[in-house]
Order: sequence, then C-alpha cells, then structure tokens
Amino acid sequence: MTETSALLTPHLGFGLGLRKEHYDAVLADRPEVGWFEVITENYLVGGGKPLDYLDRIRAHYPMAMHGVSLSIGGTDPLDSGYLKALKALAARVEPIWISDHLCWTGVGAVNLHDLMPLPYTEEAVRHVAGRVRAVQEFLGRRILLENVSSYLSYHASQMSEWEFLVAVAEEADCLILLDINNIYVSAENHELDPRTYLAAVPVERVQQFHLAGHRDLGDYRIDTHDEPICDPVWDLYRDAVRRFGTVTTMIERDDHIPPLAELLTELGQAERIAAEETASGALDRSGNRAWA
Amino acid sequence: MGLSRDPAPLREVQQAIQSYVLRGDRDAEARVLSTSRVDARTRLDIYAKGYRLRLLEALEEDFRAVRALIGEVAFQRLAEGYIDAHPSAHFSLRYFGQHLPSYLSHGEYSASPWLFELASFEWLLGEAFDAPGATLVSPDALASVPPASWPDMGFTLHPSVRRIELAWNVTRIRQAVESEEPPPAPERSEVGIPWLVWRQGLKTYYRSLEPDEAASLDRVREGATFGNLCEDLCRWVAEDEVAARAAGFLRRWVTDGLVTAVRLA
Ligand SMILES: [Fe+2]
Repeated sequence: MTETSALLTPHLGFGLGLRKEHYDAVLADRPEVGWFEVITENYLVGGGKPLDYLDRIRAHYPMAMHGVSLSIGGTDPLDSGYLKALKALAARVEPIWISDHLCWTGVGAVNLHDLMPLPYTEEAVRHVAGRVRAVQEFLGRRILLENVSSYLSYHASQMSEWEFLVAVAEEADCLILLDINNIYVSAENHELDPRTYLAAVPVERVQQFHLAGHRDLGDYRIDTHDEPICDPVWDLYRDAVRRFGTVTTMIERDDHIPPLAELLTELGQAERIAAEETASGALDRSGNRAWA
Repeated sequence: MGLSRDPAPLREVQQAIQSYVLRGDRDAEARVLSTSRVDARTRLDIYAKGYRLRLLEALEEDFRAVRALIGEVAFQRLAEGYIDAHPSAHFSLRYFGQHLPSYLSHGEYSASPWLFELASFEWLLGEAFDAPGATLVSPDALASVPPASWPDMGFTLHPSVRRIELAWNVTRIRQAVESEEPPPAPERSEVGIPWLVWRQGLKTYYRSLEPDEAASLDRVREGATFGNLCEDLCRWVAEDEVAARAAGFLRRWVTDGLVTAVRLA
C-alpha cells in the first residue's frame, strides 16, 4: 500500500527530540519511540556526559542528526571545520539521515545562532543548490533541508517560499524536512495560505515532518518550541498526511520541557491522526489521493 | 511573483540584516517588507531581540555563579556589553562565553577582581565537563613498574585536567550557588591557592592543592618524569622524604582518574 519513492528511506515511525532533561528517563524506561532526533551541535564536543548518553541511547534507538549551523544559504565559504566535525559525528552515530535548515546564520565569520530567512531569488536558488551539492558530496549522502519559521520577508524576493524550497531541492537533488508548524507560523506572519504551500511541495522529496508548538503574540507568531502543538497546526498536519502519506514524524520541544510521558501523549496524537488519515483509503505514498 | 524590487546580491542583503541585528543599523529597513499588521522595523526587531536573548541565556547557563553574585540586572548589563564586544564566531553556542573571563578583567569590572576569577573557574568547569574522555591507568599498572624504572617514568594526564590559581573564595561562591544557598561575600586569601579541576567518569570535580603538589602536577603536564618531580620536591621537603611525597601524589592522581598513560623511557 505504501509505496516509497526511490529517493526516500522507508517510514521510521514517530520520534522525539532527544533532550538532556530526558536522558535518564529514556535509558530507564525505554519509551516506545520510533527514533530520536538529536541536535548535532550539542554533540560536537570532546566527550563527557553529552557523548556518553548519546552512545548509550543510540544503542537502543535509530537517530537522525539535525543541525543548526550549516548556514547553507550563507555567503561565507562553507565552514570546513564544521563539516569535518559533522562527518565525524555521523560516523559515530550512523544516523538515519542528516538535516539542517534552508537559511543563513551569519556573514563575515559571525554566527547569529538563528535561522535567518533568505531572499527568494534565482541567485539564491543557484547559490544554495551549489552548496547543498558540495555538502552532499563531502558527506557522501543526501541531506534534508527544513523550511524555517520566518518573521520577515524581503523586497528582493522573486518567488514564494515554497517555490524557492522546491527549486532548491530539485536543483540540488536533496530531500525535504517539512516542518508543519513552521509552515503555519510563516504563513500567518506573511499573510499566506499554508495549504497552498503544502500543495506545492513534491511528495517524493519529503522524508520527514516536524511538529512543534509556537507563541501567538497577536500581530505575529514566534516559533518557540515551548508549548504543546496548537489545533490549527494539528489540522494542517492532518492535511499534510493526506497529501504526503505516512511520513516519519517527530515533535520538537526545546523549552519548558515537560516530563517524557507528556510528550509521548502528544506524539500519540500525531500517530492517531496519521492512522485515521491513512486508514480511510488506499493512500499511496506518492500522494495521488491527496485532497480527496 | 515577478520582478524583484531590490536586486541586491545575496551577500549585501545578509550584511544589511546582520548589521541591524548586531548594531541596529537601519539601512536594512528598506529591504524588508511590511505586512498589514507589522512594519519592517518591528519584523527586524524580532531577530535583533532574539539574538540578544539567546546569547544572554547561553551566558546565564555557563556563568551561573557570576549571575547569582552580581544579580540579574547587573548580569544583563554585563552580557549586553560582552555581546557587543564579542560577537559569536563559533558554530556552536557552547563556546560563546569563552572570552567573558578576560572581558571581566578589563574596564569597570577590573575593580571587582573576584569576578574574573569566578568566571574563569566556571569556564574551566564547563571545559572539564565535555572534554574528550580517555582510558585511565589502573593502580595495578603502577605497581608493576620495577623500582629501577620509576625515575624515568612519565605520565599523560586526562584531557579534562585544568589548573587555576585563585586568590578569592570563588569556589565557595560557586558551591553555594549550586546548592541554591546565598553566596558568601567575596573574600581574598593572603596568597593565591592552587586548584585542580577535572572530570572522572561523568562527574566534574575540583579540589585545592598544596603548593608542592600543584608544582608537581604542572611539571607533569610539561612532560616531566617521576625523577624530575623528586628533584623539584627538594625545594619543599627533606631529601629523604622526597620519593615518598612524589609517590603519594602519583597514587592519588591515579586513584582520582587524572592519569591516562604511564610512559617508560
Ligand atoms: Fe523544525
């Protein structure tokens, strides 16, 4: 029933972000989680607790490595020190895949430690795609790029965010980590339709979903990852499952981290929605029955 | 979406946005679209405020005792100044605070010299926490070295080992803060006290050292042999006690997990 496109790794189920607050609970309780996503930079250290727990938890669960510092849209040269460290960590973790964000993080050797949005131009498509290809060649594997939450947009842009994302993914031949919450947050902030966004993304390149909570500050929304997923994002996720089928999914929680059990309950809701939407018919992974 | 109204190359756009985030340079406003609810400047400010907040949080995490000692408001002012003076240049936020101790040794903060010491000590704790690991030498390994070979014996110390001289009671301040007790007032001792910071297993430790142990440990880090240590110890103890003193240090270092290799010439 589920036909996986040639580009994609088969479905790995429902996962969580691995956070230090949960290290001991994960090892003691071995929760029924399909996999864990780890923040790459947290483990680019010499040793000690972070790497010790990483290895011990990796022994029981598949892991994906999710980075925040690649600056794939940056205009400084790619950071070879970072890339080497990333590759070395990947050799240790043997991740199911490696992801980062479609953004830039600084210029002139400065790191803003933020996921800065790009202007959506032809120039940027060519620039980013070239860098993705270089990174993929260095790592010897395809990477996933994630759409970010953004709070500003540029006069310079020549296309929509989704056209930009798709153009980069096609030209670089990389995969997509679709963050459903980020689509919602950005759509609200830029007064766009999140469903138009979903419909534009090619099913055969979406390897993973992110879900998360955000803050509604009235005039705009901020991607804080510090509260439960809100109803409109659950609704959008439901639509995403209709279009993309059962996609490997995880919930990000980076602040106000609740007990593990609470996140497992939230993950159960994602699983339930995916089951409801995929059980209702012969939904195939290429999304042919989408928008039924 | 048609033709761009701002044909600036990517790098120029990024430089303008970054200048706003770092310094509030308003040239960026002309490059950013407003929405019906939020103008360009407010949108840029989301990034500018987020930038400062993230870096402040990183410093708060790494310098908990400095923050507890000077209070939230003064710490925020310190962080603001430091953020402007030292933009992050590393791919990881983990290293953002590395220049805070030296920042505290200059300008207005040099009038409170305990802050430099406290920040230096806290940074070393962080370094020991995630330094590389290494296999330790077991006490049995020492026992198996024939007595005649002891003078030529050299040692490799664990990568987490750090040394620092502290004139102020900053370890007690840190300890109080970690136990959620009010920190004692800064107090200077007559002479600087040598301290050792290291990690054994997953736990970070620190202890004060007698001057001769500190000097011996520092010599070992430079590659000295057991014989060299004995020669140096003559400055502190009588000649017939030298070997026992040095052997005592060595056994303790091995038990504490400081020694990762014994080299025989
Ligand atoms: Fe995400």
